[in-house]
Amino acid sequence: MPAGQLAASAATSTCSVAATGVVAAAPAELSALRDQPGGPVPPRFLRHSDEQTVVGLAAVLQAMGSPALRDECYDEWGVVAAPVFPGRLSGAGTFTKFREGGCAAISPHIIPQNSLHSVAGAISICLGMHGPNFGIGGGPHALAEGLTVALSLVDQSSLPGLWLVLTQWSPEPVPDGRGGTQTETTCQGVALALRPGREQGMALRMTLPGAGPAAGPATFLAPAPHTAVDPETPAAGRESLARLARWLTADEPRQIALPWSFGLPWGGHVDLIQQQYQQQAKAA
Amino acid sequence: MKQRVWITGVGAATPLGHQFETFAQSLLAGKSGVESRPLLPHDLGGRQNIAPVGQIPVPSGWDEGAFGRFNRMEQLTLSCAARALQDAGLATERGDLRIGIVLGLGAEYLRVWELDTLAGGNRVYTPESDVTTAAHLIHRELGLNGPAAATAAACASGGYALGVARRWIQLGWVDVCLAGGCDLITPMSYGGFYNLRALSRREDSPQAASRPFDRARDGFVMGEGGSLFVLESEASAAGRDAFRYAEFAGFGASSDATHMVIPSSEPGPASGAVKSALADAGVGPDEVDYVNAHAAGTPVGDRAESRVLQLAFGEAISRIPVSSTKSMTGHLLSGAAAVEALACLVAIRHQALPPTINLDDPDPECELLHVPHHARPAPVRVVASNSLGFGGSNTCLVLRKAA
Repeated sequence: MPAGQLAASAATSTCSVAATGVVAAAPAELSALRDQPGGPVPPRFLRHSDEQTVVGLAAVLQAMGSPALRDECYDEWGVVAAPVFPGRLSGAGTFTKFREGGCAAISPHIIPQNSLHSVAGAISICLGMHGPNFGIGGGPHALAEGLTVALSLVDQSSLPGLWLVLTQWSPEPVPDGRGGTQTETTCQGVALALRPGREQGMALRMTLPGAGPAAGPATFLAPAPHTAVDPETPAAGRESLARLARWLTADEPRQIALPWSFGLPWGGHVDLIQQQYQQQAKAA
Repeated sequence: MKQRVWITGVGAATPLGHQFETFAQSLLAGKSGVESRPLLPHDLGGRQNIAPVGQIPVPSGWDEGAFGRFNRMEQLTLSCAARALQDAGLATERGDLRIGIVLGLGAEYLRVWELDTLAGGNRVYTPESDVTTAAHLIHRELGLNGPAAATAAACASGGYALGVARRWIQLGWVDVCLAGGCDLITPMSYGGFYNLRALSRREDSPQAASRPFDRARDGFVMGEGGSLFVLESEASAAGRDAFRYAEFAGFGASSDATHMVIPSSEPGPASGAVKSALADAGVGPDEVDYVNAHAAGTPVGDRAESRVLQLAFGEAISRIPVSSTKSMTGHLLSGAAAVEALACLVAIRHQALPPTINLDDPDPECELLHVPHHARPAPVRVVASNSLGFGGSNTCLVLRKAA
C-alpha cells in the first residue's frame, strides 16, 4: 500500500508453498516418533519436548524430503509454529508433582520445552536456521493466527523461506495427571514450506477486508467454490486443520478441483490453491 | 516507500507504576521494584524476591465488578490494552480505522491452568473450558476489527509482537495495531526458573538482587506486568493529529539455533538482529544515543550480550550509553521487551538515560559504556532495545524521537 493511505481497501497477500509435510501420531506412537522423527536429528534431541514439537518437527522433516527442496540451504530460513494448547499434558503432570513434592519437583524443562515458543525454537535449533523463530496462537484460533502472521512475514520479505508449522491434538486430550492421557486422540502436525513470490505449484493466498462501511470482502479472487467457510468456534478451528491435512494428502486432481479455503475470524479468508486452479479460475 | 509507524498510545502495568509518568519518575530515580514476598510460603525458605505488579488498574469507565470476573491474566492484558487505546484517544472514536492486536504472551495457558489449579479448579482437565485466548478476548471486549494474534518467543515475545504489528501496518492490513507483551509470576513458573538455576539466590537483599553487568550477579529476579502500545500508520496519525511518543523506526530478528536455554557464545546471529533493526531504521551505529540491553543479570547471558553489542555496533559501542532497566523492574519475561520499549520512550520523552542500579563492580567481560546507579540527562534521539529469549530468539527494536 502506498505510504499515506488508510487501509480502506481490501488487502491481499500471496506466497508459494514449495513443499508440505503431514504427520499424525496416537499417544502410543509418540515415543517411537520422538526417537526417530524421520530425519537427521541429534540423539535424544526431543526427549523433553512437547508432543506437538515432536509431530511438528516430523512434519518439517517429511517436507524437506520433497524434490522441490532438495538443494535448499536453510541457514537463513525462519520458522513460525502455531500449536493449540501446548503443554496441557506436561502441565497437569507438573501440577501434580508440585502438590506432592513442592518446588523441587518442578521440572526445569517445563518452561523451555512446553511453552508456546517451544515448537518453533526446537525446529530452529534442530535445522540450524538463523531466521526469525517464534510461536503463534496457542489457543483455538491458532490456525488463523498462524496463517495470518506467516503470510505477513513472507510478503515482500527478504527471507529466503519460512516454515509454517501447525499442530494440535484432535480431540483435545484429558490429562491423566502424570504427563500422559488415556484419551483416544491423535497429535497432528502440518508443515508448509513458504517462499516469497509466486512459483509454479501450490500457493497460499489471503484476502483481508478493508476498513469502513464501503469495504467489501474478497476482491482479489472469490473464495474457492464448494468449500465452507468455518464459523468461529474451537471445534471448527480443529476440524479446519484436520481438513487441511486431508487436502494436502489428497491427489493433485482433487486438490485442483477443490481448493482448501479457511475463513478468518476477523473477516477475509485464506485459500490454498494449485496454480492450475488459479489459471482455470482466471480463464473462467 | 515504507509506511512510517508511530507509537501514539501507552497502557502499562509494571512494578514501577502503571502510568507513563509514574513509571518514568521511578525509573529515572533508580527505584527498585523488587520485594521479598511469600510466593512459596512453604518452600525455598518461605519468601522469594520478585518484582510484583500489584493491583492491576481497572480502565476508566469500566465496571469494577465486571472487570474482577476476568482471571488475573485477562485483567492484566485487558487493562494494558484498554488504557493504551484510551491514551491514544481511540477508546470510542475510531471512525473507519481498522485496528488489530498482536499480544506477546509466552505461556498463557500454563499460567491460566496453574492459577486455576491453585484456586481449587480443574480447568486443565476440562479442555472444553478453554474457548479463547487473551488476544481474542481483548479483540472482542474492545471491539477491534482487524486481525488478532499472540506471539511467543519467551523473553523476546513482546519484541516479536511489536515487529509483527508494525509489519501489518506497513503492509496496509491495519491502520492501527495494539502490540506489546505481558506476563505474571506464578509459583510454578518461579520454581521452574529456580530449578533451571536462572534466578538470583541473593535472598537477604531483595533490592540488590537484580544486578545486570555486575561482577557479583547471580541470576535474574522475576518481575510481572507488561505494556501495550498503540502503533499507528503515518496516515492515520496525521489524519487525526495524534500525539506521538516516538517513531517505531526499525525492527530486526534472528535465531541463535544452538540451544533451547543457553545463549549462544557466538555473537553473530544476535548481532544480526541488531544490524537488521538499524538498517531497517536507516541509521548507522554512530547515530544511536542509547541501548536498553536485555541483560537479565545471569552470568552467561550478560557476557554473551556484551559481545553481541560489541560486534553489532563496532567501535561505536564505546560511545553509546547502555543500561539494563531489569535492575529495577526485574525480568518480566513475555512482558520484558514491551516494558523495556516503554523505558526507551521515557529516555526519549525525558531526554535522560535510565540507569543500571546495583552496578557496583562492572564485570570486565561486559565492557560497555554503562550508566551505573543514577540516571543522567542526555540528548536522546535514537534508541535500540534488545531482547533475547529461550529457543534462541533475538529481537531488536529501534525507536526514534518525533521531530
